[in-house]
Amino acid sequence: MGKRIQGIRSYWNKPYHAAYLFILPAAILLLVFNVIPLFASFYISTLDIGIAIDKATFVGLDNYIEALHDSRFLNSIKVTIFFTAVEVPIQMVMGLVMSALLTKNTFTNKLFRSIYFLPIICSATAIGIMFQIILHSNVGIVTYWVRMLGFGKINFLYTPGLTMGVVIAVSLWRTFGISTIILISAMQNVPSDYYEAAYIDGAGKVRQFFSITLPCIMPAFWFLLMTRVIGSLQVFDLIYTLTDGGPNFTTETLVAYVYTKAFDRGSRMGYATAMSEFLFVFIMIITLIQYYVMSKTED
Amino acid sequence: MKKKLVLFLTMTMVTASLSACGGKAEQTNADAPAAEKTEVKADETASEDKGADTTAEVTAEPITVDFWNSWTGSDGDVLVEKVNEFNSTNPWGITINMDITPEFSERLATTLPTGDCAPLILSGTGDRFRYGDYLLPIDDIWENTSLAEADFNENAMDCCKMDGSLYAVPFQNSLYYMYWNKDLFEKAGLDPEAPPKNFDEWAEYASKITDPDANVYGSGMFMSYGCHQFCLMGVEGGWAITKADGGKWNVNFKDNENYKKYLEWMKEVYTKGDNPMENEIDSMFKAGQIGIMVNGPWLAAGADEAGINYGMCKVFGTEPRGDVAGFFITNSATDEEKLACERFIQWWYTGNEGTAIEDTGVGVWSLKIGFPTAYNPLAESDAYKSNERLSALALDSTSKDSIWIITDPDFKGWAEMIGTIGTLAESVIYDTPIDEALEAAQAEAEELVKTYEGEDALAQ
Repeated sequence: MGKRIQGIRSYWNKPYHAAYLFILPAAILLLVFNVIPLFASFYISTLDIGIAIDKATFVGLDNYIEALHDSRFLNSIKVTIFFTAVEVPIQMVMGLVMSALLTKNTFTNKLFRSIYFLPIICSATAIGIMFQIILHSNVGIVTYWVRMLGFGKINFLYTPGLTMGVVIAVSLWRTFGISTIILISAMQNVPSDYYEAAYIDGAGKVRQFFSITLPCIMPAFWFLLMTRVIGSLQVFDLIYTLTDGGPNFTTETLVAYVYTKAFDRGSRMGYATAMSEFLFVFIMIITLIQYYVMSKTED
Repeated sequence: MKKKLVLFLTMTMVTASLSACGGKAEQTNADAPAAEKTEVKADETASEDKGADTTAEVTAEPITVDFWNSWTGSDGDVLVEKVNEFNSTNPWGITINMDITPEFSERLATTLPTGDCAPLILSGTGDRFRYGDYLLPIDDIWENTSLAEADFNENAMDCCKMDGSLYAVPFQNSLYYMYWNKDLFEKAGLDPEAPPKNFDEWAEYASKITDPDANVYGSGMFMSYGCHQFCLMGVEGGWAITKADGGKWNVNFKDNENYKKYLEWMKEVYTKGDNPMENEIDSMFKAGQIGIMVNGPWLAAGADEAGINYGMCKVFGTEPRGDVAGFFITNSATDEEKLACERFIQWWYTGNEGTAIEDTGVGVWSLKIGFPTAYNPLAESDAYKSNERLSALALDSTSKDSIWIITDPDFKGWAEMIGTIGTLAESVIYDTPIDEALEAAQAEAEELVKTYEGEDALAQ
């Protein structure tokens, strides 16, 4: 008996065996909260099932087929792609410019970094409500200023076309701080010798930025790009609190529509999950493409 | 000798301690409103009215009951006040732990199936269809408390029943009325005491009141709020979903000339710029920027506070449409919690012993906030009758139709229809042809009928 225990102990004491024990807690958490729900969600998407998850009917791929014929679903995909295609590039450029301007650790730069980071710690609900008030067509302070400047009466939140621009602007205001901070930390890790050598070789600031800074921060840049694209494709909270998908569904993103179907209109959990699966596949494809491009760039 | 002295002193101490304990117990019984006193008071109330002892199976221990609702507006403050009053004065040792949350419906959806919901909730009575499996029938409330079914408005009670069982007690009639700003009427040269009597007058008055430079709009329809829209749309168009023969259902959007007429009228008011393209109209009315609008009584308290000189009346003189909200007890409640909930509900209507009807929860809710009551003793009280605004909003006590908004009250998916109407109105405002918008609403409503009433429930 004693020999057996000793054998077990000796087995797990070997580093390449013990390693499994160390990753076990994390693996269990991943399994329970990521892997199982992933497969469970696919199963739910094949059911006609309500929010209470009590009465379920197996419908196979009907939910997927229905989604492909649902004009509101197709519209929400278009809105989501448009939001991502506009918001992410602007944010990356803004983040790069701001981080280049604020890299040095001076007092002013630190102050501005803190100011830019502040919206990140505010809740999306508070931000949504705040902008609803300041952009209100009649009592909003921004509307008032715009009118005073001679631009007439602009209805920021209920004008198709314009409202999406407002949502993107608010989203940028809310999140560009985190991009800036991440890129600043990447820039600060670029060895100063490179800049000194480039300076001796006669390279100007712009050339230094494109030939030294940018290549050196690419890993951080790619990480940021991937997370921002995923975050933008999943945007919900800001839309829900600021426009609720309006006017006339022009800002209704896919996740906002999924939420409506799952928790609001009809409480169709199975159908909503099927739509989420589309998003999952879409995000996976985009991420794999990005990963491929990133690998190629690094090579 | 020493041993005898020690024995004597010990006996004395023990006796004194026991006496003190007994004395304390008697004192608690006499003074404290909670715990032990619970049984006495409950016995008195129940036996006086019903001749039954309802406390036999109830523990005398203080009990805390969670209570969830979504009354986040200024009326929620009144609710908080009354709940606090109940907690400090009720004779049963009940503490109501109230949580008012804007995420109420999401909370219900996720906690009811798991049994984690609060025992007591306030919700629209349409939820009895949606969550019927997770709600407790409370027909025994008439035996367990001093409340009587006959004291409630019959229409409101109908909205609280399902398959003959009672699932809720009416809390408020969320009926919709016309509001008009008398100062803006006067400024536009209109009679401040004469609100519009029909759609044409509404449009005409709105046009006169609108002053773009002053940010004032004559009309204040909510762009995509289904209930508000349908209070006008249904005036001539009737319900969107009605019962047909053989337990089937008619959906009445497509080719509905009255709906079409309304939508054309609405579109024109928006096109002329007499109605803001907004959903946040309440704050504009309270800022004195809206001439005429339709809303529930919850707007009145805020408008009073803002000092707006306004009038309130039935929409074009028709019976008000609306929903009934009620107290529900969920199946998360234990027997003790259920009884505690029922006692709180009783207290809401009757208060403590000797409380005047106008100071009870239901009294304050009507007289202070302005909700027409479903509780007959209050409706018959002098305080209620002498309230000019409430008496102008008096309910039709017999017509069941008068107390519903969008569909026949028996249609289980009525709550979902609110979104359909909102979408319909918004799409028309944003230039979708009316026939096309009505067809889309028809298709959506037909799907709802199939979902809630069965695949073959649709009348051809």
